[in-house]
Amino acid sequence: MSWHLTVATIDAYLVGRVSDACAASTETHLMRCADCRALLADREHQDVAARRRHNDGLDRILDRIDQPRRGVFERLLVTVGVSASLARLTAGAPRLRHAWFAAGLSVLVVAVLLAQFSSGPVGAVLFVVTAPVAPVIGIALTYGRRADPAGEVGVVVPFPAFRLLLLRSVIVLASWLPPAALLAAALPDHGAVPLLWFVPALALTSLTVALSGYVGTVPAAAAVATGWLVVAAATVRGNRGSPAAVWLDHSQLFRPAGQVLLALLAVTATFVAVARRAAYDARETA
Amino acid sequence: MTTRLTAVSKRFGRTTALRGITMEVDRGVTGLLGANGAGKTTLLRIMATVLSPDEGELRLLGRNPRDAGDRLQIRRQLGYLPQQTGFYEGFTAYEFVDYVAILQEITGTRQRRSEVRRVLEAVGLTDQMHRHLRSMSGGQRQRVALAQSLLGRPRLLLLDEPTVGLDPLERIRFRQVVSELAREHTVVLSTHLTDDVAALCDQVVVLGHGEITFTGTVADLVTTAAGHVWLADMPDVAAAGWWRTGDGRYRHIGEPPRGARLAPPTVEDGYMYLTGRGT
Repeated sequence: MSWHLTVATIDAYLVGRVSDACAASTETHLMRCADCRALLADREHQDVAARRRHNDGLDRILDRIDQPRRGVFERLLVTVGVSASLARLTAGAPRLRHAWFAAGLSVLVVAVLLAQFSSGPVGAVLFVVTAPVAPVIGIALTYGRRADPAGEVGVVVPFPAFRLLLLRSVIVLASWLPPAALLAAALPDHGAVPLLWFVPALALTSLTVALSGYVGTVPAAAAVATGWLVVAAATVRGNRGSPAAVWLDHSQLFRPAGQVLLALLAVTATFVAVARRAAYDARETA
Repeated sequence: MTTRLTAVSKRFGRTTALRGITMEVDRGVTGLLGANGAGKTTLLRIMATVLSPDEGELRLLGRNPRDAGDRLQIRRQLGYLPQQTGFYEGFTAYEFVDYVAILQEITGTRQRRSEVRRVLEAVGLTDQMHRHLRSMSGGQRQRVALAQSLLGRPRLLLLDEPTVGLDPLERIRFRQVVSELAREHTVVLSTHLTDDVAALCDQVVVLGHGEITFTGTVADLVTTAAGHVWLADMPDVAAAGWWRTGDGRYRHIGEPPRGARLAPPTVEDGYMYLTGRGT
């Protein structure tokens, strides 16, 4: 072969910027000339690489432009080291979360105010009994699978249902504990009373997560919360004049042995839930 | 065959939603036709692994959804548009699809973002991606829901009433997207719109009261009404199925009225003849 295609011609041919006649003669030459076929393959390879670089650059720019602004809670989670995708999953329904958070908080604030300004022990007792139920209700209202922001789509995704429930339960509990601890510190009672809600809160949350694998999150939370309130209401009692510690001491739930049993319940329920984690994916929604 | 149901039944309390369903679907688009309450949604929810059948065998993409490992593999290759997506309205379109993409385990932030943009572009929502779902029209929200089902180019795409709320242009775009995917993958769509079936489907399954009353190609469905569709100048009021057409003549399905001439059937005629509404 006495002549060869120039690099400029091959590049123009690759991007379709040659006349039909020129394309035809280029193709005729390529069929006969191995050197020019090799050059064409090489130029095409470079072209693809260049295009990929260009697309990558474009993707980076679009990433910057298209990224929606994260909410405060989502940003907070990312700041404390939670990955961006997990932050989105857990902070997925901020409005719902705010609703239950505000409702639960207002009950406890009322309890603390009662404790501060009334002479009886009602406020402190109310606080200790209701504080453990708040995270349970939070989990059910916002993060039950049926309340998933993606609706039924969220049921048939490969992301493990158990992992999602556990993540969200941890987030609910973690966002709940600091304000509850601060409010507990404002209770007028001294000694152990302001601490007595903590172990039950852990136990009820783990129990809800474990039972969710059998009956679904909402029925599990309803059963746990109702059961707790009924038992507490039936066992906590005292005279108007006696302090909150005496009222609570009437119930096994708030004595040292009861608290140890509740702690054991929390650990057992967590083990059961982890062992049965596959069951959370298998449960039907209807 | 990628997906096969054998004698599948499902009951809700005393109501039998599906009875003895046996069918196979493969590459291309299969349309599920049937009246409201015929069992289309239950069938799709079973195929989407939302529900498990009370009786019968189910193979999805060659796997058994009762097995936890298999079910996970199926879900990784599944796209699902439920009848009511019921998504959280505080999300923007981008945030919602991104949220589902995370649940779909599309790993790598850049890959996920690029995939989210691709599916939103496929349904024509690139310009609207940062609008909140609560401020979108019904058709736009339906497109967002459709976009999430296309994430990861699913091998099995299940669409429940996908064209509800879409205007004619949006429906044409929907058909483009679905027919493109169906060249290599399996798409099952439930609908009561015979237009969608005529435009898209290779295979049609007609459901009535939880049972399959017809299965075959679109041409087969049309053929069932051949010789039973009539055009007359006056309506035969005794006939159960007739209506006045745009050119002033009366279309009848079933027995011929006096002075009527045979007309070539459509998919709708086939469906109506089959379900006995026109006779």
